[in-house]
Amino acid sequence: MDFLSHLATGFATVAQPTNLLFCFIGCFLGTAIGVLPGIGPMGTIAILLPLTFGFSPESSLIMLAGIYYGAQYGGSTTAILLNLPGEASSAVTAIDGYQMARNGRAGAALAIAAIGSFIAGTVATLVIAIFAVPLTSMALKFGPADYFSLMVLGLVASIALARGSILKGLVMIVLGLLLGTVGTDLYTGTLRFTLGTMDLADGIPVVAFGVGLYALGEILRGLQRETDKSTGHVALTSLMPTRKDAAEAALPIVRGTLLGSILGVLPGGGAMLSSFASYAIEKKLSKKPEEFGHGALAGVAGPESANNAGAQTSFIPMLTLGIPSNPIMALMVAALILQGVAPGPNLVNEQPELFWGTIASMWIGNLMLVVLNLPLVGLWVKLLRIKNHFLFPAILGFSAIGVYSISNNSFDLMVMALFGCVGYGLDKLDCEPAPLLLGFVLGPMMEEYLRRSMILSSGDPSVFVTRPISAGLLVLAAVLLAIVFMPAIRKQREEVFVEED
Amino acid sequence: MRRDIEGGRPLAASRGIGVSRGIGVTRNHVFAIVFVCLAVVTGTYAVATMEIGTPAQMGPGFFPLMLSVALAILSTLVGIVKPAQAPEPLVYVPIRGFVPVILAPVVFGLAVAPLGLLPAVFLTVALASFASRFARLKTSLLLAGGFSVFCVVVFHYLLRLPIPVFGPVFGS
Repeated sequence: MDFLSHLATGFATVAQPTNLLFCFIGCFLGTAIGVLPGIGPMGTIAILLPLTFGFSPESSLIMLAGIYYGAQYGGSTTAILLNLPGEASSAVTAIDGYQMARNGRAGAALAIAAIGSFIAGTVATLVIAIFAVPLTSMALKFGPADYFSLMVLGLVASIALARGSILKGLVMIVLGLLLGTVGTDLYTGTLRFTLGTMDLADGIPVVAFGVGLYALGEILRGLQRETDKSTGHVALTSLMPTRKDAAEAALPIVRGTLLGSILGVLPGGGAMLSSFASYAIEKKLSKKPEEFGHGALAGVAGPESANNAGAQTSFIPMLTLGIPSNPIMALMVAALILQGVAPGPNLVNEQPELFWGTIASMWIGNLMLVVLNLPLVGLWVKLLRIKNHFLFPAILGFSAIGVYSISNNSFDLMVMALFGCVGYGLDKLDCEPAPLLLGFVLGPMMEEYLRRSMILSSGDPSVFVTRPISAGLLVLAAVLLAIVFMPAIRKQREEVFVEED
Repeated sequence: MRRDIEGGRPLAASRGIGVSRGIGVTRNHVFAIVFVCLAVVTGTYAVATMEIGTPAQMGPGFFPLMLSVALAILSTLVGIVKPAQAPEPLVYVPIRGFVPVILAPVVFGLAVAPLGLLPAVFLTVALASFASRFARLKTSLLLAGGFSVFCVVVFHYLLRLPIPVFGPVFGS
């Protein structure tokens, strides 16, 4: 029952008024921006990340976590009400949630989504609390070669389990790793790819990079098909689900929660994979599979629970190993590093308040979101009526201030503009920005572990396959790649990801 | 490499009218050419300016060179392998949308140190708003004015960012 005392530490940290406030602000802002169509959790975090730098590491991570699942909630709300998923993982919710809304059951869909997410969040919080310490002690057995292989697995998984061309995903990863080498070499002090400017001596500023890639990219894509129409009007019915609804949703919620908790831990997993998998399972298990696509409650309850559980357990590799399993976690790692905190197996011992506070804040945040979302759903819907051409200049303004405030250096804004162009160009070449960002953040760590393991093995690369942990991880990565390249799976994978459009 | 240059032919044919829509082959060739060139540049740069070292004692250039080689190989593959599905047709942002959005952060970066937070945000937002087809001078100015005051309150007074409201240009 050790984890209970740990959780107590965590709740004591969150219960501090400032942290409660930041948790609330995070959830609120996250929902507000997540509701806006086209801007998912990634964009939301990139935009709001700079806001958190003035705070203590605890407060800032608590707020970022709040923003993250707030954005998830917001995305589900618009998915159900307007068939406008704010992010990929709520695309599944839109399939049946929007049909429910059209059948006049919008209230029930929203309530079940919120309740399912809350239950999933509670379970996932416990899962993290129970498994964090054993995983951390396991992580301490990892040698440099094992870490390297784990990152290889994470990078491979991030493209294998996402949409888009795998080959291009690999190119994006390598490009990201290459961009990550810009700056001063840690071992020799040699300046690499700095083009003669000292502004690049510390590397490409990560927030400017992320905001340029995501926020500017989203805005430009939004301008491609501009319309003057505001997004529409929705009639809201009673929010209380009937007893029959609750009974119908109970099992899907339980299954979704379990599935999401497991899939979230996998590198490259997280919210999106969990919700797709849960939808597929519910459809298979349902007595009335023909209802799916026409407003099946289970098609909302399962995926919504799964994506929330997955979103939360994807913190596990980041908090215990210091390795982000998806781009959102990559930004969190960047935020922690900017705060002077090195995420990794030592975090739990060195910064117990930060570690357990973040975990406890997830539960508090979920509770706040239920309380915040259901009564305020009318407000979020109103927010949707703001015309896009008033919105994006404001988002640009926020992003610019945010990027500048990190180091008060105009150079960062030039980087942001540059990567806005790069991101747009890559989009036109059918590339996803996610593996690029993940590679960029993992790059320096990967290089360091590579060099360290090669020094230890006196230049013998077989160390990666002779150490059992490393070999196992590499085999897993190879199998994953082989599977997604197999024609049958490849076809099915494409179908799964087409479904969201 | 050879095949890559051959593969570039359709691109040359379609140059001038832009990359014509619906021809995914061409788009993948553009992709391959861009990234192979980039890989050559980074690889050469690494060899020229950094010590490569040996596997046992990797120099600063080892990892970048390794990545450049991987980038070249993978991008060439993208150019060769036939795409599995037809790509979506290309839609571009009109140039009047693209330029203000990309320039907005640049303008902010240039303006904030001399002019201060309020004028910088005002200029940035006003400029950005003209990216939209529906922008009107009056509403843009109102939006920029309102938003910059809001930002000053939030960032200067509430979050206490050390950026002056008005910069040295205004003699403060």
